[in-house]
Amino acid sequence: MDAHASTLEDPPELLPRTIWVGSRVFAAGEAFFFVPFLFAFFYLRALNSNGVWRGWPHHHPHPSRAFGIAILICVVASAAVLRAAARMAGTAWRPAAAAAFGLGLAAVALQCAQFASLGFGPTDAGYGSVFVGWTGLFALTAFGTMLWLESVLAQSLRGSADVSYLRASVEAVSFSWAVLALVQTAAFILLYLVA
Amino acid sequence: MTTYAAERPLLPAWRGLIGFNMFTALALGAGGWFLGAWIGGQIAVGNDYLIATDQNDVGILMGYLFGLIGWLGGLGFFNYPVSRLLGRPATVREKESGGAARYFTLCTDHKVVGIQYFFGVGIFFFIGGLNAMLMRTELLRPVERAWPAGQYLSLMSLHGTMMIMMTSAFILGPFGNYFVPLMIGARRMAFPRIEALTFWLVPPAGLILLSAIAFGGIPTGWTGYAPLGTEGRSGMDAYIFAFMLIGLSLTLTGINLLTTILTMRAPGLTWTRLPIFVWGVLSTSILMALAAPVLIAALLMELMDRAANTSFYLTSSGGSPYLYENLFWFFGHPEVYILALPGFGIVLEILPVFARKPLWGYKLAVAGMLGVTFLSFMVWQHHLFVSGMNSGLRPFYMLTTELISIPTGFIFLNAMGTLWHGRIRFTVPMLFALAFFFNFLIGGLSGIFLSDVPSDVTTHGSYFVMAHFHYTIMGGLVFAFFAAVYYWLPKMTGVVLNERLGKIHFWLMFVFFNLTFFPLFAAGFLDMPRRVSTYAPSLQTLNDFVSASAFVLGSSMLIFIANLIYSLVFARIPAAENPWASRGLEWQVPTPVPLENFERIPIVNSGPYEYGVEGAPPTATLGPVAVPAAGS
Repeated sequence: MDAHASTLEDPPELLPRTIWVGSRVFAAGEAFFFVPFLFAFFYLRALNSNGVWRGWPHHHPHPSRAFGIAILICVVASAAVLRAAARMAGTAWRPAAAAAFGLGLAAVALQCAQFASLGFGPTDAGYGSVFVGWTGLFALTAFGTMLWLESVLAQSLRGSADVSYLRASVEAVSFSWAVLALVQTAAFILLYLVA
Repeated sequence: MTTYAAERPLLPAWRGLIGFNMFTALALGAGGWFLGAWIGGQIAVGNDYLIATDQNDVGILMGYLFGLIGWLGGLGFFNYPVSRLLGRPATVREKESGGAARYFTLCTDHKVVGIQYFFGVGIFFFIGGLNAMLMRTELLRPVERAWPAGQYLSLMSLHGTMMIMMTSAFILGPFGNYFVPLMIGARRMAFPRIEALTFWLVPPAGLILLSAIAFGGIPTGWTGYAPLGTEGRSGMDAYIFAFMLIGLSLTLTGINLLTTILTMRAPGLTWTRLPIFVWGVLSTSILMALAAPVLIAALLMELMDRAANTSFYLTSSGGSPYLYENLFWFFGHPEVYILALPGFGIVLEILPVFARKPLWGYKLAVAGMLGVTFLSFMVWQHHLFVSGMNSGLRPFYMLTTELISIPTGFIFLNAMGTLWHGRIRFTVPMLFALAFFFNFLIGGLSGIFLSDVPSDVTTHGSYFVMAHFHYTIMGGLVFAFFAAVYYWLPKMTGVVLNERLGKIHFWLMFVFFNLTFFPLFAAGFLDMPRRVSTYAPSLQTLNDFVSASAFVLGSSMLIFIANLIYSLVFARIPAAENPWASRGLEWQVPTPVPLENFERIPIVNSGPYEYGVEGAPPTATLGPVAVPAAGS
């Protein structure tokens, strides 16, 4: 019989468990949010409506592959470091999480820099729309995830949360961020290599 | 770690008007709207594309965005995230004590949120119903009379969108939020602030949708199809923004309920003891968490097509309107089951109580719900049978659509088996539950005609479709909703609803619902098209009959409202703790339900449907439990 059944407080493992499960469901929702862009890519590319999927006759958008690779490296490295941080003992996770935070923000900054020098825009036919829509919303989502990570780091540094809660939170952010890294990998393959 | 915010002292009622609450939110929301519209105007000044059109979609959308930020800020939704970013301690509860003022602010008590949903969604549902009355007024004559064609179309779109938006939250909002924690033996939801947010996104969504009237209306119906959706007047911005807010609310509700059910069940509450309503909520939550994000993304693409001139849905520049149709129905068909599954859960929850028998085929019912959940993601293209889809795909979608009738049929089997040899009590909730099966049967059988390609070709776009989905959604969900209202409201409010008025409400609603919608199958077979305010003069008698029935159907809602006001405000007859002699865990707690729900986390001993089973132990042990000493 569960010893907590007769207590007035929630079981101590409850909050970490809800964070763990909630992060999985949330990540699934996030992944489904990007599915329409994946679908749009294949659907519009296959239809090639009016023959202008890839752009106007004399203006084919070609995003800088260097930017794409740099963003991908930052996102994947950040996600990998954060996943590793979630498995570290004691407070050793903090420097790793801070590094992941820096890399994540760098990815967002690089995406903004790419938009500033893109050479095409959302009005440039099917491909341009999918590119700007997908990468733009990804950058927003990535920024939101970094804010989540920052709040966990800030709590840890101020000592305002207990260890089990912090560990569950870091693990949750890392899982969500890892799923987003998969989304970004798919985006890179499709938008830079396949398109 | 402290997970509970410090209790605040009870303040006088007037004090509740100052600070973060609905009134501040309204003021900041209105201010935010003007600020956003102004910023949007400044953005448009430098944009050739926007200047070339006679409407500033960016300004309107920025107005909605800033208005929403002001609304949420006024309610205090940004305080906690900011404090977390600054490293302050995490808490899970906020403003749970504070008297009536709790209902007008961010409150994390799931019971308050449930009641907020009940009244908030109810108001918009009533507005949606009024739109239907106005439409039936126009249809009293075969020629254009009360409303010009464009206004009729907007009226119809507002009715459809409002009803779909609000009915999505109709059961999970009030009853899911209020009762799931009670039914699983939890003290709260997994993420109480997110729960509060899901409700407070609903009022702005409803108001923004209504604002479409001021911006040229909505020409597309509830589906918002491109290219009409991308080319329509600025009312479409209102449609897109409002529906996105509801999509966000649905997603977060799904995540929250799913996590709550998966992690917070009381000891002893195994999967085979889980109340069937909770299974319905679980299945619905899966659909909400996965399908609603697709809607948000599809609407974002439409929004970008309108405001940023992207070409997701514009054929001339490399897009395709079929992309929207596919994405919309990938959400839209699961949405039908987002509406239906909680209804299944409610009626199966109620039948054993009033038949005094165990629920027949419990595992079959669960399999049916999960089967519907799984299959609902694989049927969406049946909405596009006559929209130019690849004809080679038709048989697959015809088959999957017809397959879904098998798990749905399980629910009917459960009902029949439960009622068989039962000692049935015809209370108001039971009457509504029984009517659900009658109506949903007609809705389901007529659906087979629409899943079948040859018959769909002749009935698509006609009133047959309209009659079909009203039988499933109104005949199913709305009847289930009222079953839940009469069943659970005594626990929620602590007072009894008048039985006689309840029965008058039921019989008027049941009879005139069928008199309104059954003739519309005939209108469909006689080629009366949906969404058009004029029709062949030979159909006038039929339409007049339907309109007259619809007006009585509408009046039956007034009887419900009168009953609600009479019972809650004037009569106030206190409800017993367990007036239906139910075994459900939610009925074992005192009325009104204490802030913490349970003094101690209960231990569940048996399933909730063991009516008439000799020697069945009580559903749960609610009092203190002796914990065996270590090693004993």
